[in-house]
Amino acid sequence: MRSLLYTTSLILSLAMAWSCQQEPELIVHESSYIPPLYTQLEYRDTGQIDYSAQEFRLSLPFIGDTYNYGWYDGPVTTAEGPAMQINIAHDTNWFVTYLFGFRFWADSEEESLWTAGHLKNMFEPGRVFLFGKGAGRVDISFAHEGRITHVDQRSRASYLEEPEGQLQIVSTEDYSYLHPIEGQVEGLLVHCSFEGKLGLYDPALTPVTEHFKTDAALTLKNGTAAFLVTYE
Amino acid sequence: MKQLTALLLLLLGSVPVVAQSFSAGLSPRLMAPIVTDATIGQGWGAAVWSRIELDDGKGLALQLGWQEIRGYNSAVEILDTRVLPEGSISWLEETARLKRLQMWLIDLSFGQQAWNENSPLTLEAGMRYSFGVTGTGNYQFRNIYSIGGATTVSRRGLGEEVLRGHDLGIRIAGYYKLQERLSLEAEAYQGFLNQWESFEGFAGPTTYVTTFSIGLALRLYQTKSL
Repeated sequence: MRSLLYTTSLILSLAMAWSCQQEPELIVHESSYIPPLYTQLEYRDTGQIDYSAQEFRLSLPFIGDTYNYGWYDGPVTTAEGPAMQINIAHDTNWFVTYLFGFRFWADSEEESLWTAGHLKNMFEPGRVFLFGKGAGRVDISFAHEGRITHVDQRSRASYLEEPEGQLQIVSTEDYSYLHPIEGQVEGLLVHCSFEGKLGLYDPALTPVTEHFKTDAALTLKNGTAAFLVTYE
Repeated sequence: MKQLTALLLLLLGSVPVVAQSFSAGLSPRLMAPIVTDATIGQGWGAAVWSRIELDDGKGLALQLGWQEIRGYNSAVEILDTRVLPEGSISWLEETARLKRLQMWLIDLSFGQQAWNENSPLTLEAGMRYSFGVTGTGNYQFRNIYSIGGATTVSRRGLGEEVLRGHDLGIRIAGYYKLQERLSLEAEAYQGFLNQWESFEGFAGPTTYVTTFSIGLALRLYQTKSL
């Protein structure tokens, strides 16, 4: 019994000495997370010799000089069939300014659209989407310097009489994030590269863009992007 | 609690077989916890206890008590910023500062009279389980969701969000008999569990319960020669 008392006393003394270590008055833990969404490219306007670089990247607002861009994805119904639209926009309390976009048309034979299985099949690594409208194609839209207004004045690949260019899927991965209101959101993160030409939209010619066609082209090169498509 | 009740009944049930005597009483206590930065805090406590005296001055003791200890100044601030793919931003700020701990406790100890059976000094060593541990201090949780979203701010006491809620440790105690029904008691306790919840992804603050106490043990009931 006495040895029990001595042993307990020894353990108690050691434990007390160990637990009396000094602690900082305040432990601060800071973390931030920005999803790996971006689009970057080089473009050349008509009459321009050198290419200009453009990058859109999600960022923290009010920190640094970078703008806050939002990535918006969702299915749209078009005259050419169902498509998945990804838009990059600058969103303020008053205006949404569209800056860049991908519109991917689903393959015509697809039935269960925008499910995980469908999206993984549609964006299979190595697959090539030709620029243009319709099943299996992609239309790229871009508002370059001087055309960034609150009215959507993006140039589009489909504005060219003969769309020219392609987008290739490099890799995909499952991606999820915790939305504070909607809860866990799951989707497919798609990495791609693209190059080609966009029909240069000129609002002076017509304010209606629906059937707009042009020969004037904005040339894109070294385009890469990572975008998210959420599962239905 | 069911296991503890069963243990208590078992102990009481075994009294007629092995015990020389059974006693029960009450102990008010003044606490001296070792708090943040190894300084001494304040507190108080009270317990009801029962003892079974075996032969050779040995015994078993069981007690149920409550205590409050204060003087802590341990704090954590968590800042989490997330930019979500649709461009919205979520800021989370959580600040907690622990000032005081309150808890229920149950002890099971072995006792031994010092030197011989007539000694006025009894020493005890045993285990303590503390439960219902609550903290008071400052706690604030702010979650701001920008771009057409919601802003939520809440202020409430320290709760299970950041505190563990229980403790397990060892104690030693000494009882010096002043009168037939009155003893002076002194106790030291060391808890082994950090009273802060473990924080995911970073080392948070640590607060281990370390207490010294002095008190009076009033014997209210005793049976002899069972």
